[in-house]
Amino acid sequence: MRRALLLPALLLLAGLPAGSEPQAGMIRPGGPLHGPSAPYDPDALVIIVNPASGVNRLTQDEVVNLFMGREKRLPSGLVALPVEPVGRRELRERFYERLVNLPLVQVKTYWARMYFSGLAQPPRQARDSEEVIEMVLANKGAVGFVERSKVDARVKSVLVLGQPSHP
Amino acid sequence: MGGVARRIGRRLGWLALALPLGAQAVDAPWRLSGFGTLGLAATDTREVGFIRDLGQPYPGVRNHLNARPDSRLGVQLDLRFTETLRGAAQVVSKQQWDGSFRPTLTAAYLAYNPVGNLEIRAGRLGVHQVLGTDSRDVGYAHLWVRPNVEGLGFMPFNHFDGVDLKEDISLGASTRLTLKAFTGLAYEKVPVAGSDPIDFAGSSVAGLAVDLQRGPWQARLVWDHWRNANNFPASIAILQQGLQYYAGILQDPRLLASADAINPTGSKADFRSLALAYEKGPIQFHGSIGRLTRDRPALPDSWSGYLSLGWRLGAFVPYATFSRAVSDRPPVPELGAMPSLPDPVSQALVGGVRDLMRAGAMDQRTVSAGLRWDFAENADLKFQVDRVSAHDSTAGWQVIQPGWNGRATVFTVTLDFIFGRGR
Repeated sequence: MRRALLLPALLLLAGLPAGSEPQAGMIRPGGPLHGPSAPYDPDALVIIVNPASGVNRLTQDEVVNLFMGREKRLPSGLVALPVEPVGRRELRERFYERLVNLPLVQVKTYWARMYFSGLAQPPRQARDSEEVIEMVLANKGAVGFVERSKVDARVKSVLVLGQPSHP
Repeated sequence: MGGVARRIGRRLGWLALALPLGAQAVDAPWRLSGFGTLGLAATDTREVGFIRDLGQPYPGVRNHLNARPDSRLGVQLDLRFTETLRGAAQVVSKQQWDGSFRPTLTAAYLAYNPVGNLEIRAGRLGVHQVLGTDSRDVGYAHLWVRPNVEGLGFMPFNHFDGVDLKEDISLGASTRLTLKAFTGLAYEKVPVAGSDPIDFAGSSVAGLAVDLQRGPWQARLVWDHWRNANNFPASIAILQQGLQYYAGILQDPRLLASADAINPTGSKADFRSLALAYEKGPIQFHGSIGRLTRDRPALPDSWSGYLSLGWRLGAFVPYATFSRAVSDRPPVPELGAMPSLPDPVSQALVGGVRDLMRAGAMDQRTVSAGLRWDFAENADLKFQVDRVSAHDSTAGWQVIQPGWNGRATVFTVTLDFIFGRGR
């Protein structure tokens, strides 16, 4: 009886879809990460982590700090490993536009300043979304972003970047 | 000039062969990358030579195209040993104090992240100054063709051998506080026209920087302190001995005061600054104000600062900058006539002290307009015009000819690029 309860509870903790409990791991149109008033956004980007990362949700500020090299650790204490798909320019453009409201070239000059002065390390580079998912699966501390359609049950979704809230 | 461009071009070609972009293994534990600038500058006058910082030699840029002051090439190797231990080395070829392009080691350190965001680095490191100065050699990283001359050109060194600490703290939603501290020994040299260079080897440097980041806003408070070792040109020591010798003979306290006022050994300097930046959407705003104080009366204290606004229109960013550097009036009165001394001696002492005081004083302003064009994935082209007005031999100028009216226009074109997997 207890064992029967334990398995769904573990799945829940790991962020895998289990039962109908609303939680961060589930991505559905109009689902819990949207709120009732947010329209379905087919261009939304999903921030994903490793199921064993100990992270269930990230705020947009936390994602900014991780991807701009200001935060070295995940909220769970693991060393963070942000990953971005360098081969997907349009995806990166959309990501940084929504995350920090900056054109990609501006983000690149930011990293040229930070990286060549040794003050911070830029995100690790994957070729495409499939490789982002592979790196997230291979590293407990990895955090990446992919299109909504690429998200699968092996990774945990922790934030949806929809339309920018700023004008 | 052509020789320099050819040499840089050859190095670049070699690197391009050795480092085909994207050919490295994804997520390798090492990363080789680099940056470079090919720059051409000219002024509209032959009466003064323009330099971008104190480390650059005679004669500087004059009224013909000069590729030396702004051209540079850097290569950086990063190694990741464990999740929390990394290392890096950086070599830069740029114009040295002696005019050569001899590559120098500008960074070589180990960095350790023991807990949270704390990072401790040891080795050869960059001095934390106004925003962006740690990457002053990386043209691609900045809006302008070169770091602001009035705001930063007077800094006698940019690197040191020692340790630094950095901690990053969250202050509630979207506000970050970064604390940095460093201490170590300087090693760079500053050329002096017609004399040995000033050698900062053994001079101690230390500093604190507090960064506050809130959304698109960033503010930085900096305090840098340094204490000069005894590595100054022989000409200063000779002048000092002369003043002391004649002070004894003439019993003239002004001479003794001047000898003390110019004594560089053990002299201290402090630089405090506040910088502000705003980057959001198309807007890029930067501003800073700094105060340099020195404990030798012959080296006057000074204010410096700049304001810059850029506006991105697709691949183009037009920008404008205003900057100003001005010294306080020297607190030590210049030596008047010395009727009791033979003319040549009097001229040597009075002129020597005056030259030294003038060399440490700044009074200039620059209005600049420029255009950055991000024409390729990892490269940009910039064009900038600076209109300079100056009243003293200062940070941006070398070897002023008598009769210069204090005005000059500087025209600069740069091609900046980055390569490898660092971005």
